[in-house]
Amino acid sequence: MSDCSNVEMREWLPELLHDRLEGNVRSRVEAHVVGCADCTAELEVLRAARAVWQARSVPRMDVRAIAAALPRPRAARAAPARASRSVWRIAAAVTFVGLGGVSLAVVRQYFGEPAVVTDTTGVARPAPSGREPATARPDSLLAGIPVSLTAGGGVADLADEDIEALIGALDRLEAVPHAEPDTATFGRIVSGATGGN
Amino acid sequence: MSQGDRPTLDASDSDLISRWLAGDERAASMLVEKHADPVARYVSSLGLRGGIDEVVQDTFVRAFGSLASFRGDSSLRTWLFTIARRLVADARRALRRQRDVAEVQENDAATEYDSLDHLIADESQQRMHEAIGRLSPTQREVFLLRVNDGLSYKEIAAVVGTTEGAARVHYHNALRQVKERLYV
Repeated sequence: MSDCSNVEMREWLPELLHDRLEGNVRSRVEAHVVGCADCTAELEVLRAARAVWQARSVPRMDVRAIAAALPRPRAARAAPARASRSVWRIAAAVTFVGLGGVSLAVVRQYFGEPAVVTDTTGVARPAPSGREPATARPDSLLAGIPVSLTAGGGVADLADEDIEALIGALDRLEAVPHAEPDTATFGRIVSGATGGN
Repeated sequence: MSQGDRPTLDASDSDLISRWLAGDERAASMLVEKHADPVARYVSSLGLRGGIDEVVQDTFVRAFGSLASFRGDSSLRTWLFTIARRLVADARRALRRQRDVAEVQENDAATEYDSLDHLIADESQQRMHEAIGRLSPTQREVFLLRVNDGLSYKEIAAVVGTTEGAARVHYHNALRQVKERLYV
């Protein structure tokens, strides 16, 4: 058995065997094989070799067992973590606001409505009805946050944009305040409300 | 030879990989179903007698563990074959240390296949089987990757760890020997 001298055509034979040739190339190779005894014989050898190899008994793979052993995709693993971070941020926001609201409520209960709200959180007086709800002073740490929330309102009634604003404010908070709290001012408020000097 | 240079990553494999990375675990099952048997057949062609299912499973576990970094320079099947080949080599080293399995020598390729595929009724098929079995391990591996799996020389070189030119030489040497043994 001899080899065809057309090297290019011989190299196409495995591609033809696997049905990967298209269009003009396929036509040329098929036409060549028809007219070339060597390539016809070689193609038959390749076909027989493939058939013998395909007929070999190989253990059938358990696809389900293999798929079950695979690691989870990254997106599925990351989703719970992202949800967890959002939950913690909202919980932190609720706690922060709750503490601020409780402290203000205590002040009002025991010391009456102050003329000027100047406690350390810098929360403004609640606005009269019919007007835009006041927000915290622009220079306060809670700038842009609805007063209804900072004065002890719950988060359950907040709109989505309010929650987003709250989370954004938390992101802007720094661990250490810029300045020491004004204890002298706070002390005057307390002593004034109790009537002490 | 442009038609021989197939797209590096099959469109459907690429789509299934993207879906899996996005969290669709069913895409993984589809990829396994598509490639598990060919990988098993390739592992078998490397002469591994037992533990083929374990090697195949390990292949997929390792592949999916680093699928996010798979660039698609080669086809997915080529990449799986590359991983499987390394695992078979590791398994062979471990078995040699345990002295449980006879070592496959370069000049002893035929004995490995005598005990396999016992029921070949057709004489011509038997002769083909013997002809392939008498190739050297490298020639047999290259020949079967080209003929059975349809890999290009570039892909074969990536799997076997050689050059395209060497893969071409191995293939033609193997083919010549098979022809000689069939038509003696």
